[in-house]
Amino acid sequence: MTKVKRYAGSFAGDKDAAATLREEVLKPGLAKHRVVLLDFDGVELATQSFMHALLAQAVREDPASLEHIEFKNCNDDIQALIEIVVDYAQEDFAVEED
Amino acid sequence: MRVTLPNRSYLNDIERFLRCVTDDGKDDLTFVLPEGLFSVHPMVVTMIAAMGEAARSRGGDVRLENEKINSSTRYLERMGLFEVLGVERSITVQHPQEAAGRFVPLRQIRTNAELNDFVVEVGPLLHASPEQTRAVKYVLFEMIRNVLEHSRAEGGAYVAAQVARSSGRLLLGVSDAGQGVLESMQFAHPVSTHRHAIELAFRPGVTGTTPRFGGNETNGGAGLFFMKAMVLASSHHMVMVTGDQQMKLLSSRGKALQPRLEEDRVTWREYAHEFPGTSVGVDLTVSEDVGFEALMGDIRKAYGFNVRAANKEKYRARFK
Repeated sequence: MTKVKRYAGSFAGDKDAAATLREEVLKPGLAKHRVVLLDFDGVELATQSFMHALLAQAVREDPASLEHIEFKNCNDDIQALIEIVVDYAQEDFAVEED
Repeated sequence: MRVTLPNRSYLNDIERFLRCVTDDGKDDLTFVLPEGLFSVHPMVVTMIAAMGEAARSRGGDVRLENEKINSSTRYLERMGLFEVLGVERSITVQHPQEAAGRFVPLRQIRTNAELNDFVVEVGPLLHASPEQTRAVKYVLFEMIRNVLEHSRAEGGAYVAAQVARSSGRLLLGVSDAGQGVLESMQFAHPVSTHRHAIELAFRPGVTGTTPRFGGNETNGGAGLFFMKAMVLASSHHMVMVTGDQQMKLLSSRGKALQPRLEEDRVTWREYAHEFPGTSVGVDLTVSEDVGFEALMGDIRKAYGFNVRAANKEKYRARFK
């Protein structure tokens, strides 16, 4: 189990911290087909940018990786942010901009 | 550049300030105080600080003209503007740059660590519960993080805030003297005007770090869109100034969140002079919770309109 607060503090906005968490915990865990448990205990708020840096790549590359990630102790706001990032990371982004 | 401060300039009439900025063809910044009392939004304070940095980076000087000693100039002294500009003045205050609950003095933030500390420090100044300050902290953090990540400004972000206790409003300003939105977006997109660059920057899924719609592993292109959503939920204004363009997002109570700036209530203004970098000003209500979770639902819906809906069954996040 990984305490997100240890990496990001009570306000999880630092994308560098998210990238560290992604590279040191999430990616290695998923590569070994382990269940990665991210514990948000003590994290009051996060930003979309943080959640994107943490999760988007893994979800885009393999949406089934979500079967191997568990989010624990998320308050309603953090849960909402995770859901929105997980949602858009699975969208088809083939649409061209103008 | 020559800046003559007007007697009043807030987000709803920010033009009053920007009309008073003239390009005199010199590398210097001449900052002229008005006759009598004046009152300005913190965004104006941060813009002047950024202009000062730009002038010095060009090799110019920063000068103060028409110095007066009154409550308005003492406010600017407490805000730390003269100190940041490095101008000589005779204005003195008893407790310079003290964050005493009415305003957050001008601060220069250059690193993520400074940003993290700042967001923690600003919380108690808002005199509200943690739940009520979530949107404010979110917007403040993201405004500054955008500068640190995209502006390439040597001086980082200039930040200032003011609390209007009677209305429960927090007035925020963040400015930089960096490359501006146009140059930042041109790294990945074929844009040629400041206005188009701003429109793209607000569009969910578009980021200046990659031409790929939807972003890359570190950028989703949703930061400004989230900020826009929070400002609109708070029924206030948001202003962005970069290059020769001013974009003013007006509150639109009751209207559904739109993915594109072109579909919002927005006014544009073009100026003869160019602002050297980017400035963003927002007003937010602190005294009432904007309904963060519900807002996320609106964002999710609006974001979905901007991308092709996936036809497959989606996996879901699992919560314990």
